[in-house]
Formats: sequence, C-alpha cells, structure tokens
Amino acid sequence: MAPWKSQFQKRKGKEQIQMQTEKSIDSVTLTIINNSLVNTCREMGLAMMKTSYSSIFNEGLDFSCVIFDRDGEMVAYAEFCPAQIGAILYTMQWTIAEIGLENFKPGDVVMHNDPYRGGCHMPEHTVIKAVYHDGELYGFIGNIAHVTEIGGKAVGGFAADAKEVYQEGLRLPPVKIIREGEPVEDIWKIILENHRTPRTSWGDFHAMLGSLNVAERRLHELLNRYGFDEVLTAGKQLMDYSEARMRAEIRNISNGEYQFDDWIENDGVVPDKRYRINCTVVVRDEEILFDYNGSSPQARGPCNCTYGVTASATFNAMLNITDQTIPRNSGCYRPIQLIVPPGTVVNVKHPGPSVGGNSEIHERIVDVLFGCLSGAVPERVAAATGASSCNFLFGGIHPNTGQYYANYHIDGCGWGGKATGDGNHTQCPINGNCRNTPVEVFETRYPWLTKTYRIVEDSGGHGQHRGGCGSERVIEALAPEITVSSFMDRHETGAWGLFGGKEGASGAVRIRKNGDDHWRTFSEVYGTPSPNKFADIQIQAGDEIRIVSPGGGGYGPPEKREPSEVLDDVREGLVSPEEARDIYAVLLVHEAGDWYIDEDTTANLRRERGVS
Amino acid sequence: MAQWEPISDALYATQIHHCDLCGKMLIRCLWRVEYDSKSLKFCDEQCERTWFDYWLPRYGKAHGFTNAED
Repeated sequence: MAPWKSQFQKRKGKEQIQMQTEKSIDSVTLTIINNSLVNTCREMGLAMMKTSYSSIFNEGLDFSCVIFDRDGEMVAYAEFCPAQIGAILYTMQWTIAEIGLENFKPGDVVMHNDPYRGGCHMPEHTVIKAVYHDGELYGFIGNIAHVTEIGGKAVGGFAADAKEVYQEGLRLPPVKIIREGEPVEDIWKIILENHRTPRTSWGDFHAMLGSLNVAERRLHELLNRYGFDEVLTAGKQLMDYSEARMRAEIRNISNGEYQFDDWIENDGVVPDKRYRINCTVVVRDEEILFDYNGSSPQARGPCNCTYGVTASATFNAMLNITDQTIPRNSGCYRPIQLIVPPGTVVNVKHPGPSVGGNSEIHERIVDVLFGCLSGAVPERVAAATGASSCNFLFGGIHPNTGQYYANYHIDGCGWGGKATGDGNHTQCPINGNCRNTPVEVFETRYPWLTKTYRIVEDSGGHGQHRGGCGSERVIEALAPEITVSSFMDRHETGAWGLFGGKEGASGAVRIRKNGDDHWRTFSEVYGTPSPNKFADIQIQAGDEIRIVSPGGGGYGPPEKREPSEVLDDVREGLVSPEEARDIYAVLLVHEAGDWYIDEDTTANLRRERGVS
Repeated sequence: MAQWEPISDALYATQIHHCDLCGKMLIRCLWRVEYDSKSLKFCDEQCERTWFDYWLPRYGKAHGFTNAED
C-alpha cells in the first residue's frame, strides 16, 4: 500500500476497522443501509436538478453524486452518468491525498476540474466535502457535474480545435471554495471572473453545494439510527459483496485474450487523420485486464481522453455486461486492472487538450470493449452505438436580455441491436444518462427556432435485432449573431454491426446560410480543418443548422428478422418499404392507408435467400 | 531494488508523474524499481508485479529491455 493511503486509517486504527469488517452484519440490515446510501445519492441529484440554473444541469442531468467512506472508497452511487463513475474515484482519492486528510476540517468543500488529476475534462467540476459525525470522520460526499461555461477560447467550454489545455478554460487544481463553512471569496472571484456566464456558474455551483448539504443531513440521520461503526462496517461489507459478485461474473467469461479496435475520424486540428482506439482484454479466472497499448499516440486536437475517461468507459462496459443487481461501489472495480499508456488518445499527457474525449470518445471505448467481448459473451454485448453526443455549443449576447448566455446542447443517437432486442432510438449515448433539452425550454431560453426534430428513417443498422435510429434536428438562428462550436464524430463511417448485422447510418452537421439553397459543411463555408469539430464560428440571424445523429449497428442477419417486426418498423417510419424488400426480404403492400405483408412474395424472397 | 520515494515537486512544476504500467497519475509518492539499468516508477507493488508478469514479456523488447524474456 502506498504510504499516503495509510493516512486514511489514522483517524481510527486500521486494526480496529478490520475487526469491525469481520463482524458480520445481517443481510437485511445491509440491504437497508445500502438502499439508504443509494437513495441519498438520488436525493442529491434531485436537489441539483431542482435548484440549478443551467439547462445542462436541470434538463440534461449531466452530473453524478456519490458517497465515499474515509478510506476513499466509493460506497454508494445512483443512476447517474457512467462517464463520471470512474473519474470521480480518482478525483476523490487523489484530491484527498494531495490536500492531505489532516488538512480537512468540518465544513470544508474542495473543488477541482483538472483533467490530469483524474477529471474527465475541463467542464466537469468536482466538489468534495468531508463528513464528520460527533467529531469523527465518516467519509466524503461529492458530486461531479458538467459546468456549461468555463471561459477559454470557445463559448460553452468546448474548444473543439484546441491544441493545448490552456485554451480549454479555467483549470482548477483542488482548492477549498468553502473553508469551515465560510465561502473563500477570493477563489470565488477568480472562478466567476473567468466564466462568461458567472451568474449561471454561481447558481450551478450552489446547486452542487446544496446537494452536499442534503447528503450530509441524510448521512447524520443514518449514522444516528444505526451507529457509526455499523454504517462504516456495512460499507466495507457491501464492497466485499460487490467484489465477490463481480469476480463470479468474470469467472463466467472464458479465459483468453480478446482484441478489437475502432477509429476516431479526426481531431479537429489535423485534417483527415484518424486515431485508433485499441484494447486487448485478458481474462484470467476471476480477474480481467484491459490493455490499451495498441492505441494511437495522443492527438494534437482535443479528441484525447483522460485516464479518468478511459477508466470510466472500462467500468461502464463491465457494468453493462454483468448482473445489474450488483451494488455499485468500489468493490465492483477491484478485479479490474487497466493499462492505459500515457501520451496516447486514451490517456492524455499535459498539456494536451481533452475536452472531446469525455463526451464523444468514451462511448467509442465502450464500443471497442463490446467488440472485444463479443467473442466471449455474445449474448451480453450490443453492436456499436451511434456513439455521438452531437455536442453543439453556442452563446452570445441574448437579444431579449442584453446578457451573455451559453448552452451545451446534446442529442441522442441510435444504440446497437443486442441479443435480446433492438437498439433504442435517439437516446443519449452510453457515457451518460442525460436528457436533451425539450424544444419548448430550448426556444424559451435561447434565440433559436426549431424547424425540424424527427427520427431518421433507415438510419438504424439493419439486423435480426435492428439498431436504433438517429435523429435530425434543424434550428434557425434568431439572434443577430450566435457563436457556435461542435465536437461530433461517426460522420464518415457508421456504427458497426455484429454477427451479420448491418452498419448504422452516419451523422452530419451542416449549415445553410440565410439565402443559400444548399446545406454545406462548416469546412466548405468557414474553412475549418474538420467538418464536424470546430469552435468559435459566428453565424447570423436566418442561418440554419442541421444536426443528424448516427444510428446504431444491427445485431444478427436482417433476413432473420420476423416479417411482422419489419411491418411494424415500416408502419412506424423506422424502415422504408424499399429497404424492407431489399434488405429484409419482406414485401409490403400499401392498401387503404396501411401497410400489409405480401405473404407469398415474402416467402419466395426469403426462400431465394436461403432463409426459412 | 525497489523502494518508496516521495514526490515533492515545486509549486510551479507542470509535469505529471505516471505509473509505468497502468498510466495512472502518481501522487505524493511512487514505488521506484531499478531494472535492466532503467529506473521505473509504479503506483505500488501490484503494478510492479503486473509489469514483470504481463508487460515485460509482451512489450519489453520493443522498449529496449534486453532482459525481456527473463
């Protein structure tokens, strides 16, 4: 054990803790304490949602709330953003280590967003508070959330053409923003002075602080009810239980090595250069190792991932292929080992930029891991997802208020088909459980008119289990000038299918200038190095933006899809009758305003293709 | 030879120390190992073990370790 880790045990002798761990708590009490801790995390999230200012907080829910014990181990987590579950493990532990446990006092709150210190990317801010009960340290509560505007070269904190971290916004090492219950005003001034929308940041930060207060109150109630030692011991036992369950899951995967790769289309800086994400998964009995050594050297542009992002993506994939009833805590991660070479696209080194890694590349890593494990547990993985959050950022002076505004807009994409069913349509990618902003809220808060928002027919990869469809959104600028940025991928190659399933449709971002008849790429109109990753572009009133999200890959050969399911797809506008005939070998006829299967011709078509 | 070594960078230092196996940031101290005339740094003994068991046989030669097949 590293010497700094032993400091966690200083407050109450390590031996005593171990003795308590050996004392068994009955499973009913354990379940109640676990549910109470998880519900506290959920309540933290509700407090965030209901009190925050930005739409990425209160509509997008781009945050995660967690409880750690005093050893820096995560004891509870609720259904928040998978993108943040790995990162917060490290931000929490490393922050405590860097500041020193002995320097925490009751009422202190630490904030940081440093991508090299375990963070996901610069917009993701973590706040941490130590919880003392009757003068004794129980542990830490924290949350990590995507702050919309953090300064830097691009409004909305997404400098998609950044070449170094200093262009990406204000970088905070772990600093106390509250000291023994009192705001450290000098730090607040520095932070807010560097954000374009300080009032929104102030509101969102206070939503984060409020959620910590909620958690602290609930923890005191729990500790009063069950006793300090009982709750602490329950946390240890829950982690041991999760570890045992995870080891049992890994034992069910055949020993061996599994490799797969996928490619990032460009980095926003160097045109037409692709970057490889490669992983070798090594399964040995009840442990699993993820080796990313075959990945490309880090990019000049911000498609790089931090260590926290790659760890989160790895844990995310593992939690998706294992039993969903395993309590989510640090125990789940003990049998998992990572090798993530620094200086690659999966572990950026200072001063490399990384804002796109968390939002756009995390999901590609999960896809790669599903690809690896498709050879071992084909019934548990899915074909590739559209894997794009369609990150679209904008801001400027709002014509109605005269104030600066900024927004981080995301769209869902199609998910991959899987052994048990079709992929979901236009759903937030696998890195987040986020929601996009409803059109009504979007138009009320920002100077845009939404002209189209629809599912794109035939965009899901065809298959026995069809990939989910992507969406199309067209918005028209209403303000005299809006500054926009974008970080998107999967615009050249669609999401791959599995076991004979077809590729999903790729995505796009286009602009139609006021008076132009054609949709054009941003490279064509503004000369950006990348057509889908760009920053700081000024558009004018009447200009329209079209965002198309990619579809998911199909699973299994399309000819094996039941004709009745294909009929439903056509009736719902998900598959065209032409594709139904050509791809699925199902002939549909349109009569009296509805579609029907031509049974005889369909049987002949399927017989010709060797499908019974 | 292996031992714990404190990390004490100046306040203005920008470098981040990474584990030579897993790539994680090293904080406060590192596990220093001398091998094959090279100085290696790890998170702890577990990363050192995996480096010898897994990394060295697989990637050692390409990284100039002459004893890669030990």
